[in-house]
Amino acid sequence: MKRDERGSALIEAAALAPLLLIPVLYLALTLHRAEQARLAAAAGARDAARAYATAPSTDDARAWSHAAVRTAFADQGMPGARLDITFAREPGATCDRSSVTAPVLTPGDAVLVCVRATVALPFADRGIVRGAFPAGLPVSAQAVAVVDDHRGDPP
Amino acid sequence: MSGRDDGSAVVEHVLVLALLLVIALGVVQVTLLVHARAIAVASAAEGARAAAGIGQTPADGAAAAEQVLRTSLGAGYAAGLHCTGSTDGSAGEPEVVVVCSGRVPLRVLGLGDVTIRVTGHAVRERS
Repeated sequence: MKRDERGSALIEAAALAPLLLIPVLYLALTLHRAEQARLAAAAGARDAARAYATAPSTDDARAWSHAAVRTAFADQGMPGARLDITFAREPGATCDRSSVTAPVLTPGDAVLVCVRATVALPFADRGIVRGAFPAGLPVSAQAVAVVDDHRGDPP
Repeated sequence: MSGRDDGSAVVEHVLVLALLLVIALGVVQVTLLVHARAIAVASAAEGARAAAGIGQTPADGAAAAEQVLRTSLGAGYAAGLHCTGSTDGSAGEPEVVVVCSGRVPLRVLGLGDVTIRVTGHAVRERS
């Protein structure tokens, strides 16, 4: 090593380390988003199932369920998450099956709510890069609620 | 380099490494903080949901949220957080709103604490 290069390795390390920290920070932000989305999806699915089971009509049920999931995602700071919510009649229903029976609001029946959401990567959904990165974090959750045995008749 | 500078490279090395260590710990601290915040949001929403049932009051929701905070974050972290419940009908449907706010300690770096404030919503169930 030449005399005038002494200490330059140290400077390089000091300059490079913050640069290398940026991917780590981005990974941390991404994991944070994934955590938020998972918490929101789980809570939203449970709340949506309960909302569905207590609604007076299936139209109200769908609207209330969608509102419940949106509320859960808004609470976690993701009001714009792309949501896909499906309902199925339990038992025997799964979230993957395409041919599901529509749930009914008969006492004792059960409804399965499946929530799928795609959350944009950090900084990928704003500014000039919006739409440039279609990739997102997929999360899903499901919940079952039983229609109450002693619910009142629909008005 | 004169003889008086001998060994200064070691000192520089130690200083830079110490700085890098602090930066790395800072990343860990921020990660823990945002994790705690996400858990706090979930707890507040959980409390709001608990208060949304028939016969429940917003105060019940606040108590439930604090209970969830204590079990999910740990008593030490949750000690500085307090929740209040209220109802809000401005969005059309009557909602229960639980707000949890307070101070969360920054234990990794030992830099005191920061104030966070999170809100959870739930639509009240109809009788």
